[in-house]
Amino acid sequence: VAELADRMWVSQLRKGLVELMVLAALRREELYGYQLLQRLASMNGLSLTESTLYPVLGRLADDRLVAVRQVPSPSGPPRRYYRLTAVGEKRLAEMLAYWKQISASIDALAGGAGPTSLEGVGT
Amino acid sequence: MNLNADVRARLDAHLDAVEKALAEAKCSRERRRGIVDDLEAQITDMLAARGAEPTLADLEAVLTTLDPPEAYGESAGMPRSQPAPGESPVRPPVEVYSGAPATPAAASPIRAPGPQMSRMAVVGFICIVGSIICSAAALASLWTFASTPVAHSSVTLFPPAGVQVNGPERMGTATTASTAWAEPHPAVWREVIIICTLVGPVVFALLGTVLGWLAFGRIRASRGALYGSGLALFDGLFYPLPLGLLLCLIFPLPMIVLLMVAGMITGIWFLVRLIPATAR
Repeated sequence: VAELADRMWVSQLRKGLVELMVLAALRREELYGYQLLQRLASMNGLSLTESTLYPVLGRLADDRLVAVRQVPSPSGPPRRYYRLTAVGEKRLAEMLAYWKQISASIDALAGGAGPTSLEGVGT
Repeated sequence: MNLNADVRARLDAHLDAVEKALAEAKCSRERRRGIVDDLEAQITDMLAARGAEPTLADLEAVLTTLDPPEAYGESAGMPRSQPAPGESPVRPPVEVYSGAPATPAAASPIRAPGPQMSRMAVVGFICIVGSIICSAAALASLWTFASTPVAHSSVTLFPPAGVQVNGPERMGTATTASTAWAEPHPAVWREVIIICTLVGPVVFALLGTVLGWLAFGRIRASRGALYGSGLALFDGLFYPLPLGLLLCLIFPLPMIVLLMVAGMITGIWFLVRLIPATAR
């Protein structure tokens, strides 16, 4: 139980980063769901399960942050390829800027340095 | 890759279970379909890696590596990210690759979870109905009072000018009228009831009208997330429209002047807003 509780913070932290992870993965190329899953799994600490990723992709598409197109697959049903839209790129840039700011602030806190201003982030 | 009937049936059962879990989590039909399509593509890719004709054992082995169907219900319940300014909550249609046959599922646009009825418009409508009921009650009360003899009590909320009310000891002596068929209403209660029945409809009518216009503004600002603009307009116009018409009939000239001024102000306002927008 203690070990499970210890791991809870990891899943909580990762849950807040899922959209950033997905948008960042789609920054350079369009990918279909399983490809995206494998891409994230290949990165240290970013692996997601399909029950987390696919609903997130649906939400991002609803929010027009990603666009979807279907392409026939040789192995079975059509694959749904996701790519960033202009709105998605803008959101990703905002999220990355914010991520860098809070990362720097936390580094500064942990390292004992002064706080980093977060003013103007997310606007 | 060929899937035999048993494998197909087992795969369909798993996908159905996932879709059911998503439906129980109030996930919209179109989004469920997208998630299940993604999952099916993943499973068939994983099966294809095991050979051209996967067996039921292959499928079971693949499914054990995947999340159970109920996990989708938990994930689908996560909150949506906030839409960016200027973007519509309605999901754009899925593009279909030109070489692929367009299935009905692929061709139909995928929509966001269903819009909700504006509660404010509903409350406004209830107020309008309440005002009508109060008006009917007021009329009934007035009719009853008009046909019922009134006790000539000296106690009244609005004593006539020059009359001094000294206290309750005068009430009994002042009562002079009574009938065999109805108890007379003391004047104070008669006035309280009249005020309440007159104020009630006015308050409800004002509330309903204001809520109607507020709801209409919110529905327009929601960009499709709320509906009920017809009901909101009904609330907002139910009293103002007949009142305006009545005023036009009673005071035609001032109302025409007023409407002309309002029209000119609206026209100037539109021009002020349109010219910079066109220039951009």
